Amino acid sequence: MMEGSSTSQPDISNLFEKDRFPKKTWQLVTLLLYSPLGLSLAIVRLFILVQAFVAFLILPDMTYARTVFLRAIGIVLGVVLHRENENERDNSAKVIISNKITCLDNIAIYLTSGAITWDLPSPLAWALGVLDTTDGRKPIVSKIKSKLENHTDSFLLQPEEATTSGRVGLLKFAPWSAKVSDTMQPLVIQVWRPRAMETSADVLGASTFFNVFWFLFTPFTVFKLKYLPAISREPNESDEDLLGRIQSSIASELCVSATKHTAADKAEYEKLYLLECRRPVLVTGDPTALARPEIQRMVFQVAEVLPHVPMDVIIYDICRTHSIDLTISNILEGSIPFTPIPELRRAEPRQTPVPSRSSPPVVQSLSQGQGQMISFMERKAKLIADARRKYIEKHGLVDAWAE
Amino acid sequence: MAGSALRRLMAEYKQLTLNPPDGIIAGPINEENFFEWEALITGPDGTCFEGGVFPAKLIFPPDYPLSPPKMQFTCEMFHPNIYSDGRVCISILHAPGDDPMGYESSAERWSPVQSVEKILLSVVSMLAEPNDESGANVDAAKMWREDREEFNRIAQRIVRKTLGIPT
Repeated sequence: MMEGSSTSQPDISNLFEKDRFPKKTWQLVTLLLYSPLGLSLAIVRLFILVQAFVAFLILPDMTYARTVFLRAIGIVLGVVLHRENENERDNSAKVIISNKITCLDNIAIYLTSGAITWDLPSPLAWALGVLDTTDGRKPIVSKIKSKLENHTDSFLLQPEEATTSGRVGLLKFAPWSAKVSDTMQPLVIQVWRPRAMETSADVLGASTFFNVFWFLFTPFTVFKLKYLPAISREPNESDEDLLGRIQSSIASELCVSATKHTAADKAEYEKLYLLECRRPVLVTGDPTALARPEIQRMVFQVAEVLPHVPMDVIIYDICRTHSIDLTISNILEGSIPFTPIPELRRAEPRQTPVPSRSSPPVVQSLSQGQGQMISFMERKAKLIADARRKYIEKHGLVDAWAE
Repeated sequence: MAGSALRRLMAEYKQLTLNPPDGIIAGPINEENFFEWEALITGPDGTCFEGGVFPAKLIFPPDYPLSPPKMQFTCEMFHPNIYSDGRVCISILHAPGDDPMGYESSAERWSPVQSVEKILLSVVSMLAEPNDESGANVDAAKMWREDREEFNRIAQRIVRKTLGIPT
């Protein structure tokens, strides 16, 4: 690996933006003050977009219409291009290879270089007649190749296949991208928004729709584009080495590390992250529900079966499902994450099965409430005690222990 | 594999806790290990084991419910179908195919549709009606056939022992 790629890999959890909103109070305040304007702006822009789209569908001349349409989208979305070194564009390299920050990177790059891509949101891709991606990756490589041979157009690859924040690390480049061309020009993208209302352009777990909405909401989004010297495959260089070189050159330009995490890793992490976000922390909702005896009874029954599950988790789910069976299977199937109660707290006062005449443990533990259930131990003790009492009564014995 | 076993065992534990059969309690000895259970079985009324509460241990294999668990009484037992070390010899605990005694029909063998509850109920009926053809404990089988009175006396002694009542 080259310089810029640090020796220790950053954890995958650090590679993405997780908060849409800025952290500083003054930024939040401006954002709040701006929001009525932002919303109206978003609505107006949305209408223009729809109109442009319809007009584009009607216009017959494909190439011309496409240019106009994409420029319109660029303006309407508030895409501001900050071209660092446009004259560095090396026309011998037809393929531009770049990192991926937002879902609209490709529009920004198209506006500056005319490089097309197939990786557009699907209605756009369909309308623009760009490559059909439905039949898997392999044919795409050959399709791109034939397109490159027939046209002078340049082509954009974003082999990370998923967005990152561009501040910590790059995802591993998909191996198929090396097959497209032997000479590729790396392009570094950085994205920022006005400080005063700095929202993240792409947030982990957010849908494309919301990401685009924030483009419409924010007055403008700056895309800083910087070409790096074109990289050609050296004799006998493997795909992996070639991509590694390109990844490192982009990474060192961004001062981030080139990681081995793939887009699939991101998808996996995203799932986990979303699950974590939905985790119930405290009892919310109807506070009177708890007072209802049948809810209480159900909660105790569930807690009896699953003593390691915290009460608040059970209460939360019971209030939702109103069914013991549903809640137990929810918990067992892992659809409700929770931190198990450690053994120590559960195993409090628990006597050895000393037979007693009455059955106070039941009453006691119920009145003690929280966490202290009729444990398995206590039920066993009760069974033995009852059997013993019955036996003594039946055989008319004197209970030596009770005396 | 162990995951589905664990899930199944949790579900069975839940079932046994919510609707416990009369006189039977069963559950994991400690919640860290769901593959080792303890069970208490009450001797059925009207039999020589009436009133006794017999503790037993159930050990589940990692591929449960494909393979049956093993069951062993942890108290003293004297019964034709229980080995002297407490192991229970009963057809529902044998997978079809392994038939140590060669007399069991495969209909009453272990299969994944059986459950802990069914095992325990079978054990209860085994206590009530020993099968003296299976010689897990030959002495007990012989005494059951030939000297029922002595057998009942021993059973009574065991019952009292499990209840902590001096004989």
